[in-house]
Amino acid sequence: MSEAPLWTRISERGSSVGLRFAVACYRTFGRPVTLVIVHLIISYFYLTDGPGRRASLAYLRRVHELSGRGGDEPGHWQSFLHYRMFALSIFDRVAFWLGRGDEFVLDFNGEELFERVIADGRGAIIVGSHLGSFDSMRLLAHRAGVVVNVLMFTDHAPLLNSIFAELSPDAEMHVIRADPSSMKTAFEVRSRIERGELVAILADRIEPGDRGSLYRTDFLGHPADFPTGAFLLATLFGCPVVHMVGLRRDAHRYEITAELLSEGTAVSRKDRRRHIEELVERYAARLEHFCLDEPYQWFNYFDFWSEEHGVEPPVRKAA
Amino acid sequence: MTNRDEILRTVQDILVAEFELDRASVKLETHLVDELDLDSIDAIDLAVRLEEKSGHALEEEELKALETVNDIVELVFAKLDGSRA
Repeated sequence: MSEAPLWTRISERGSSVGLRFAVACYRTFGRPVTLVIVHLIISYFYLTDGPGRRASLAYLRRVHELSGRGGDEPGHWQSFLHYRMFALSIFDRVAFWLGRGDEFVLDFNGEELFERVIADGRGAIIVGSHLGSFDSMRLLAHRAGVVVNVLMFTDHAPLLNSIFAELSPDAEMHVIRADPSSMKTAFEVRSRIERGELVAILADRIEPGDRGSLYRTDFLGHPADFPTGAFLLATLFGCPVVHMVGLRRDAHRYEITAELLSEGTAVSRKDRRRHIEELVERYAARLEHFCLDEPYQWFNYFDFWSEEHGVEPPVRKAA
Repeated sequence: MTNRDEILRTVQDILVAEFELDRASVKLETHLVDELDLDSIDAIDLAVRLEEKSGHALEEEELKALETVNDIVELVFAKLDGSRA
C-alpha cells in the first residue's frame, strides 16, 4: 500500500477537532446543519489530498471501463462525489452510534442464511470490505442479539474508534486486537468461533501482518493483491464464510446482503491452499459486483492495484 | 507436558491425528519442510494446536525459524521452562 488510508491520514492531519465538532453539531443542531458542516470538512480534504484524489479517479475509471455504461470518463466531480460519500457514511455512522439507528430502514437480503448460520452454532467468519457501511451490519447484529467480534489493528483509525468508544461504550461489539507478529490472534479467533460467535474481518486491505500471505487475483479487470488471512482461518477452523455488505441506498435506507462463500466443510490438507485461493477469488468477484453497483461507496483511497508487495504465492513456505 | 519426551509425544500426536502423518516418520531430527512437506498453513495450524495444549502463544518469527521437529520441542520446552522459573 503506497498511501495510508484516508482516515489514517485524517488522523495524522489532526482533524479530530473537526470530527468531534461534527459530532457535537449533530447533538446540538441535528441533521441538516451538520450535513452542511460535513460537506465543508470533506471539501477541505478533497482539495488538499492529491494522492487520494488520483487513486479515487483511477478506481472510478476502472469501474467506468468495466461497467460498459458509456458516457464521459469520470472526472474531478465524480471523484469529489466519491469523497462526499465517505463523509455521508461517517455521518450515518455517527447517527448509528448516537443511538439513532431507529431512523434507518435496513433491508436485508440473505436473512435466512444469516439466521441459519447463527442457529447452527458453528460460528462463522464474516468477510466484509471497505464498501458501504460495516456499521449498518453491526446495527443489524445488535437488533438480532448476536455478538459480533471485529478483528482490527488498533493503531488503525484510532481517532474514529476513540470517538465512537466515547459515544457508545456499551455497544454489542468486541474488538479482537490483531497482533501481526503472534499466533495469539488466530487462537483468539478460534475460541470465539468455537463459542458459536461471529468474527468479522475486512478482507480488502493489506495490513502489516498480511505481507507474507497475499493472493493476486483479478479485480475490476486488473490483478490486485488480497490478504488471505480471513479465508485461511476459516479453512483451518472449518467454519462457514459469509460475505456481507451494507450499501447506502438513500439517506435513511441501507441494503444489507449476506451471501455464503463457503459452508466450511472439511478440506483435506493437500487441497487447502487451492481452497483458500478459490475463496479469495469468490470474494473479489462479489466485491467487484457490488462496487459496480455503488461505485462511490468503496472507501479505499489508495492505489489498490499497486504491485509494491510483489507477486507472492498465497502463503510462503514455513522455512 | 513437562519434559521434552512428553512434548515430542504431543507434537507426534498432533501430526498423526490432524496431519495424517505416520508416527514413525516424526522423529526429533525430521525436517518439517523437506521431509514432512509442511507449509506455512500447516505451521499456523500446528501453532494454534500447540498453544491449546501448552497454554503458550508462539510468535510468527519463532515459527519461521523452525526447521526440525526438535526445534518445535525445544521452543515449547523453553516457553514452559520460562513460565516455571
